[in-house]
Amino acid sequence: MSVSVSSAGPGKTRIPRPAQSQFALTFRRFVRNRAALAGLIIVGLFAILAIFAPLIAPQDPTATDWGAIRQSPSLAHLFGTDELGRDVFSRILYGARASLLAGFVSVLISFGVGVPLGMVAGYFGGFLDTVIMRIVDAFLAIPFLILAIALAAFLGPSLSNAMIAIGISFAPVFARLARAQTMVVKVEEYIEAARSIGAPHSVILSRHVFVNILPPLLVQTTLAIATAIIAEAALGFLGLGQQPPAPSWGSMLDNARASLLIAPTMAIYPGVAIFLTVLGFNLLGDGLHDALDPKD
Amino acid sequence: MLRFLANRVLVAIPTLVLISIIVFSLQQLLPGDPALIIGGGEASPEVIAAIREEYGFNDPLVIQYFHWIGDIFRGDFGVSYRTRQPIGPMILDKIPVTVTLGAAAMLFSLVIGIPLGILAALGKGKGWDHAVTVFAMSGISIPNFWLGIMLILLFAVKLRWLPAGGFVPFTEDPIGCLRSIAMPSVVLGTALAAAMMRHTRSAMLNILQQDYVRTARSKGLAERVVIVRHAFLNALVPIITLATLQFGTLLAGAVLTEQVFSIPGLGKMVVDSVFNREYQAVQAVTLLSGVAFVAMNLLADILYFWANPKLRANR
Repeated sequence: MSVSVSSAGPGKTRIPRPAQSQFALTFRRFVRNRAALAGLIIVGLFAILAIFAPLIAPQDPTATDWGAIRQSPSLAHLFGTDELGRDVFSRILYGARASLLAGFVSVLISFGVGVPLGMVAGYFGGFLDTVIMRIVDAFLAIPFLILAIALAAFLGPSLSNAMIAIGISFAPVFARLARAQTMVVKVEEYIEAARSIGAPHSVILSRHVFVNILPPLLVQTTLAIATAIIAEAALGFLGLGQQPPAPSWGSMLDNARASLLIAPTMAIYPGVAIFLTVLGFNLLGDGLHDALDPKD
Repeated sequence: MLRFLANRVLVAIPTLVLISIIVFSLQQLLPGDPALIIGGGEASPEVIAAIREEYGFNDPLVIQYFHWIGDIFRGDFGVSYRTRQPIGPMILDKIPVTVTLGAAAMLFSLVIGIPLGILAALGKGKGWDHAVTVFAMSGISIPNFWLGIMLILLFAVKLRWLPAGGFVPFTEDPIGCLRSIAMPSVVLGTALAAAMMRHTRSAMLNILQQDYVRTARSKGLAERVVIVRHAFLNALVPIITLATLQFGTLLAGAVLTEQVFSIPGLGKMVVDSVFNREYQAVQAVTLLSGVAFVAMNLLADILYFWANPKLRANR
């Protein structure tokens, strides 16, 4: 990676620019990565569709029309209609809300639970570390989706419970990462300096450790949103997520599977929507990773 | 070796105990009285009381836990409340189905993932590498249940080459078995193949930079020998470890794959149990998957130890 240093042109004397900030360097590496930019655009596009769904959607996503059941795509219904005559395009738009909401909220839960635990374990070490990490290991041992299904089953099927289930199931991943990063950071000189001037642990953790372990956590957050969106769609597909008649991409696929022989197009759009959104977050996460850590 | 093994087993024990506590605690999440939920809305007070007695809901939690775990150690996972069938044998019936599917998916992912990963590493930065990277990224991002539906649409509905669902045991009809798991194993194996591809690529890239590869090249060995004997065999260690660790992903993916293709395995059993309110069965499968994961981890450690002469020398 070449660091660009402003060079004075021949015959001109210019004051050299100060070295670029870490942020500027990272930003430049990011925008030069076409895949990452594509990811950002896809994510941005779906975010806009989700936010402005009420303005864009041509019809009420839950309005049934018995006269227009399982219609093929047409001008009146861009993506056709489902088994109750509901407009699939409108349902996809509103489904984006459920998917993105689930992605963000679940990861917020994972982050909020996992990161503090991992930081405390890594920072203090010793017995506390052993206890926390044993619990984290036990959670990690149960396959992510099976744990999420079990949690959603016991909590009861609903979108908010699906988000809690996914959030808890993914929290150990954040705890692991936060612990590992904290252990790297805590031996740095600036932490020692903070400690020597008598800063309490809570200040060191929140103001010095957290800020410095944030970049890898950010990468993990982006990739985790991708996983959470697939997981929410999976739970919806199994009937453990968003409940009818509210639209979600997973439950739309479940309905489409039931009428696969009669209306095959119904199964295409929700899947493409999930695929593109997840791809967007994965590309974005990979791009952030490369931009923040150019060594790899 | 024995000391190493004993050490790993000892470390696994607290994890196993904690897994069992987590799985047991799931029951506490049920909103309201579990007996009422198991019995359903129409159950009479006598039935509810009977359920309480049978499941031991009247006992303190710690006692309930020890009863539960004690029964499991005796192989008793409880009785299905609906069919009165013991859950243990039900699970035993499903295991071969899911294992067949999982093994086929693993095979698919190895056959696709490893060669493509090697090719991508050898042509780093070229068109081929980009194509493989795009393929891998798509494989990770595609929801496997949707991929399954699309394959059914193409190969079962349109072309009529393969059955749309169901499962034929290998012992009954090998050809029928292969036909029935062809699509499901591709669906289950795709994300795994993508992961395998990415890991093989980075493991190969790492090894191709090592001094011993340079030495092998400089002493005039054929490129094919360098790549196969020196680079690939060494890259195999992290690849094998990864494959073992993907077990959890495979099991979780099986839940959705089995649902899409109506395959009567453990995954479908979990989902059916959820909707039949057979919470004990959900707990049993969750517990087993956690225990199996710990066992696979142990196996990965042993494989790693066995494949790495440096570790063997230091024991």
